Amino acid sequence: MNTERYELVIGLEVHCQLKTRTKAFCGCRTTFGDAPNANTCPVCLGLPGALPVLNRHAVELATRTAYALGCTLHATSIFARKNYFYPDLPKGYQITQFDRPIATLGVVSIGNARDGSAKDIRITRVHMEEDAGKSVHDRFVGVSAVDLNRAGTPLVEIVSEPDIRSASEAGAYLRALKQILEYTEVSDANMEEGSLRVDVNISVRRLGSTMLGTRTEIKNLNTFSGVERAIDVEFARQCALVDRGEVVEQETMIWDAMRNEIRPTRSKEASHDYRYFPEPDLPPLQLDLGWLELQRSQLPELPSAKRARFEAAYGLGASEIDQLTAQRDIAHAFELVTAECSDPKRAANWVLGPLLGALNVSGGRIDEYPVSPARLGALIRLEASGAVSNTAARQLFAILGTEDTEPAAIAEREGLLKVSDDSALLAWIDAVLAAHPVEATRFASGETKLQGVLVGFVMKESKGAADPRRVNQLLAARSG
Amino acid sequence: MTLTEPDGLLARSAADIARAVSAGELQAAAPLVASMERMAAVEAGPGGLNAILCTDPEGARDATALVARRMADESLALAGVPIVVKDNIATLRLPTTCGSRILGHYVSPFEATAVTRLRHAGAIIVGKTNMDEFAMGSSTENSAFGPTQNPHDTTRVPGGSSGGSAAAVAAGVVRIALGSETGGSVRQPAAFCGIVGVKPTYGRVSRHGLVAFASSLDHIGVFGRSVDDAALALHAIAGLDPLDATSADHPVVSYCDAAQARHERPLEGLVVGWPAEYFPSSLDWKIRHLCDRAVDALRELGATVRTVSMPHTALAIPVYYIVAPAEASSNLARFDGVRFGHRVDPGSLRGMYEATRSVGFGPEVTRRILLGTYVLSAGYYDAYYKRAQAVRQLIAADFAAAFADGVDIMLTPTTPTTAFKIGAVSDPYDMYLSDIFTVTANLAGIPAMSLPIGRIDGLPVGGQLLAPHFEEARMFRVAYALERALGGMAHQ
Amino acid sequence: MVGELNRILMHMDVLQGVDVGTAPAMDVATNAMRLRDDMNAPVRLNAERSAFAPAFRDGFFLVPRLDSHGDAAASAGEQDL
Repeated sequence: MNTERYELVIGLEVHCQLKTRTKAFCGCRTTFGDAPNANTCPVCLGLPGALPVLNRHAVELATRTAYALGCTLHATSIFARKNYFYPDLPKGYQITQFDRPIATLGVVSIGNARDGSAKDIRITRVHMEEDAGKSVHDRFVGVSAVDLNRAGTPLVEIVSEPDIRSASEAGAYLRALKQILEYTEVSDANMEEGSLRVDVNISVRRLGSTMLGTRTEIKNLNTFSGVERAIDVEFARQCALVDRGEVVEQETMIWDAMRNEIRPTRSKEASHDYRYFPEPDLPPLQLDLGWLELQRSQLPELPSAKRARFEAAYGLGASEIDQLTAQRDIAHAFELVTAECSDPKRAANWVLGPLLGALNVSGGRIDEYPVSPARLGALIRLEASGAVSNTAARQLFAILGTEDTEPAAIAEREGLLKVSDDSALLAWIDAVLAAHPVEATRFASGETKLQGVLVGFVMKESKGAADPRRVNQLLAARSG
Repeated sequence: MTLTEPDGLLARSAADIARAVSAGELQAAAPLVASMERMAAVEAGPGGLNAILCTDPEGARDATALVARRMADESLALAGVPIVVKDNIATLRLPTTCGSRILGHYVSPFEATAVTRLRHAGAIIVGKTNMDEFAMGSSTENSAFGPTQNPHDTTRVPGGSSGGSAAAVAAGVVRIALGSETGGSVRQPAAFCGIVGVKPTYGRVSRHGLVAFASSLDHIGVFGRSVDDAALALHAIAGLDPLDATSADHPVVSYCDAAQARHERPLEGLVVGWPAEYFPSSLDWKIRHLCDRAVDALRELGATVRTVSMPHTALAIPVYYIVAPAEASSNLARFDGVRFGHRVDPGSLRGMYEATRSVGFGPEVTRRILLGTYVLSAGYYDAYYKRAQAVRQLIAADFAAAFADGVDIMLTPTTPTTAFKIGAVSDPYDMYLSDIFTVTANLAGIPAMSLPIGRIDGLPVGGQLLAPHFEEARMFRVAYALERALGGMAHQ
Repeated sequence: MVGELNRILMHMDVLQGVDVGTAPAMDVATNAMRLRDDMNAPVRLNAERSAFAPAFRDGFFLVPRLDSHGDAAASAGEQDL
């Protein structure tokens, strides 16, 4: 089999849970991990006589999502019912949007221009819908258990055009999408907790062909790497089929991450007739044009714009910029630190190094870390002025995390200010030479390569306070 | 005992009962006691009406005690007034079965907004009433709990689907009852039973707690022994409800209109439309004659009468029997035996769905689910459902054009026949045709009501008033005037 | 019942000849959707879920076990009834 003769054609459907306090159509909480069915009411249980009423905040978040993806928002959109029977679908239909979604025609940029990997993935549509509940099959013997806490949680479904041509492009698209969802604070965008779910539509065609092949849909993907592996496996399977002259059947496949394999579900997607029709319990959703404009204008700076601005304003390298803009709060902290110390290079190093390192250990949020951007900026100023060495500055950073005192004051108290006074330096040098007579003798007799070792001893003796430049000069004068 | 003449206390209007209770002239529990006694009499034995499915004497007594306490601090428009509620409207203590086996002994864990508002107004819920299963029917014969009989002739149907509520009012058990309408299920039984039945504007009364049949057509409506009873009841339940996204944010005015009694020509300047399509040559000439008499009465009250044309009227039944089953097929999907109601479990999931629904639903419900599933299915959606919705807009436009052209209200017959014999109509489509004059108002969402305009061979005939959206007050003004003008003739 | 349904559907065929070109679009201006605030105020349940559930244990609604399980069943079990 030769996959090189084939081209992959992929479109992704991403279901994203919106970060609302309550469900899409009722006042039940959306919290994760509560007792089964604790967050259910007549509406999300689908009891007779209960009616849906749409959550305004869900509309705001869906609107923000769509604008962040560059979509056209529609002043009128219509909810529809998608009818099918399943125990975790309480009403026997899902409220979703069908032929009149809230937004269409957007774009997500992936890759970068520098290495020629830049590419736009077009967004077909963004629509609002409600989530289903959960069926638990391993809890009781012989029966399945239904928990409807998740039923009715607001989602947006983001559907891409079949513009993706490889597993790595799919991964890049998902990472870019996740970053946008996090920047706009519309979702936790967490695949492990199920707040981001991905279905892959995949087909193959001979290179050069413009016809679309028969597609399959892969569900049950729980990680981005799982998506990429599943695509590779399915690509190989479809290529092999076509190579043998067989046909790809339109069907829904399940990814088994444990076995690294794909298998078909028993139902054929084509056999479903969901009998969509407009949801009569919900009049058309009308969005005021002025309100829409306000939503658009209040959109935060998006990752691509931030990267471009950082490049222009701070003169940082691509890798540093990617790391700094990976999360909105990291970029924000960096900008605050830079504003304080006026030294973007040092600010980047400190934020990406000691600060993120400390957060990795503590697990806290960057905007709640005890070393505030103002204090970190002051520390960087102290280091840049030459008053403390980098070694001392790192020690100071650790102390700043435990007490609320100004960096300069701590440096003075702890004797971490750089000492350039010759009498003090000479006292440390004498002490070091006395403590290491063998090295002292060899150094005095002309073995100059020992100078570095001795400087290190002096720095240690001075607890980092000695000015290493002057120590070098003074030691050089003692060498034979 | 005659089945249709209320005696004693319940011969007084709901407003009068509430006033007497509020003034301390009557014990708060007295109207309830009268109602329970009357109910026991008309429901008793094999010849009983079978209008009431269940009662809650204890809960009702507690409610009267509560009303007695509350009267000290507030005035209650329906203080102590007994009412019955159609069994597809959710109540807290009494079961809500929709006349179906599939709900078993289901007691709703929440209450319909309309019921809450009636209770807050001081009304006492005496019982739940029989109905065609899931409100699908025009005779109350499609109930899992047996048919209801018409108090005027117990061999005949009371109409439907709210037949139990209509029969209870007609038999003098209560002055006021809640019903529901999707295609005429309040007005048609009101006409058959010789009482007043009102379907308000779509959105005027919250549907929260009304078990859905066809959401875009469903309304909660009221029955009254008189126009005033109905006006009082509608005023109590009308108004915006945040729990129903289709409920209207439109001011509620009082529909009671006692003042006009002093005017000699209270309808001076009113233009009454006489839609030709509602008076086909095939219409029973006796019904036509009674409508003419009612129109003459309106003229004498000062109204002018104008013939109008509603060219799409004949399409209303086909449109209705596409849209309503389509929505029903989806609304009834939740009756799956998973979370509530009656479950039949042969051991597999698919088997449970199939057995629960085939045992639980009666033939008319099954018929409409199949019909609805068909008209929504891929390949047929455009030809049936989508087209029906477009024609529905044409029907609504007929009304809009007539009202825009200066017509204030229309008068038509409510039904093409009087109450028919139990078992007489067996073809489903023939049964559907009994809604022919009423479904248009559901399709257009306009307010409409039926009130007695006479009798044929002892059986009541209803006249229907049709008004523009949210013009219930105007509709009631005409109804009061007509009721007063016809007087005893309305029941002859 | 099929014959009965077909007879009913025959009555619907009258709609096929109607000119719907003049049908006004749904008057959306007058019936725009009202929205609710994102507040934790669900309609209260007046009874325990177990009081109305046909089968209930440890907070779960119980149903006959699905033949296949895992998320795979999410689409495999969908049914058109």
